[in-house]
Amino acid sequence: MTLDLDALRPWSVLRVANALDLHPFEVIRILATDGSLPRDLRLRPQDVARVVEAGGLEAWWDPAEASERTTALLVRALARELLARGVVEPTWTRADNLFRGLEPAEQGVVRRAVNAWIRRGAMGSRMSPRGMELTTRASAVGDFAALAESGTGAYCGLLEDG
Amino acid sequence: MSRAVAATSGQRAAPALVGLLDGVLAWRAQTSDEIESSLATIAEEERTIRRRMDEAQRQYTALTSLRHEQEERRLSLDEETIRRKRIRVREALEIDRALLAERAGALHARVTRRDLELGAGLDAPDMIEAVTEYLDAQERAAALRGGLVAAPEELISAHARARLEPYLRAASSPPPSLGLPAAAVGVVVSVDPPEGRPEALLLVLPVPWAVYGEATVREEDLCSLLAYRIVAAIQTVLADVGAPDALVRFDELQGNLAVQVWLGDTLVAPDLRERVLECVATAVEGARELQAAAVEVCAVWLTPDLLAEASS
Repeated sequence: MTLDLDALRPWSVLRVANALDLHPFEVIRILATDGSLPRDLRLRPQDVARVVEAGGLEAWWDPAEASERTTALLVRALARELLARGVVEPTWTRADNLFRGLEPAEQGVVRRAVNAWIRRGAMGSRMSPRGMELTTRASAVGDFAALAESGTGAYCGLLEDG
Repeated sequence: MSRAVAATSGQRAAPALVGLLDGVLAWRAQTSDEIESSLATIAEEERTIRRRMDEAQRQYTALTSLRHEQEERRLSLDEETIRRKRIRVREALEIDRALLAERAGALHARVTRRDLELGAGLDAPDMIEAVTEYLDAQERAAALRGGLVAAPEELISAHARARLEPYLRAASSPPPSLGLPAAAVGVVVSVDPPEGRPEALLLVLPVPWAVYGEATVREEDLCSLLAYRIVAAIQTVLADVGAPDALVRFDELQGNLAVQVWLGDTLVAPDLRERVLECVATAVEGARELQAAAVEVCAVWLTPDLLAEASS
């Protein structure tokens, strides 16, 4: 068991970025806009908290539960999260919030579902300085609720694997 | 030929008429010789003058051609100046990029060596408990992905923290100086259009594109930190000028990292250029890693046409 001095330093921007699934420049952008970027570019817990808060970062998924999430459960949970977090127009959320904490395969499931919803007009997407943002169209709320609660409705086809 | 002839044969005195006519003939012969000689002289002089005229014509033609050539050069002088400046800008960025890369490597090596010295003792038997606790805390802190906020220092016991304190302090000390002579590198700043209301801001950093393009896998170094500082300066400027949401794009420009900001949708004051130069200067002022590497960063203002791809 070894520990080097570098491990004892306040976190580097890169380390925080990797931990938050962000690009390092995005960490800088958030803290600089917030006026809270440390001069030494080493981030303490309070700085990380600022990144999370000022950047509007949210963790929707617990990595520990990855093995329990089937495609159907994941898509239903995604619909549930979108509604529970109030991501319905005119409220938008960072697109990366939908993926943070998911395994790559799970991210693929979420990406396919979101793309399908965007194609069908159930979700909207836009580019912003924070990158891509997403929202649920008000007209789709009923179908999302049906999907989340009982796996039924217009989008139940998304619950199948592949 | 007319000639006076004696009417009788034999030796007789010639009448005056014959002599006088012979005189005319002699005059004619002499005059004819003179004319021929004069004509020959004139012809020679004409040839000489013709040769000179031909030579002058050749010289004139050559001068006309030279004049056209110089006039064309004069017309293309501005264009050629820009072309040459573009090449020099590219060369300067390459020189600065190489210098930064060299010092980044040297600083990394120096910090690693210093860390080994200051960190000696961390693996001593009496440190095992504190180190174990810290590593466990670090692992829990990795739950950052889910919980988003945690820090090993906050998760360890007071006892472990006290044991680790000298090392935590050492870890936070500035990077050691390389002891090299100071060197300056330029960050190119350009606003388009150069006069009036800005529509776009462009900065070119003397760091490789990989600092952005491979940021998540590339080791953070002096180049990364410089890029962070400049990106932070840009965000500060954008917030100051009322354009915090301006679209920022990162591109590669001749191997360098370029930052482009679209300002066309925002009414930005014309003093943007001064604000950028000021914020870049503030961003790098007192930066510990730059001081240790003896690198001075200067913002250099250029007109946008100098940042177009050099033609050769």
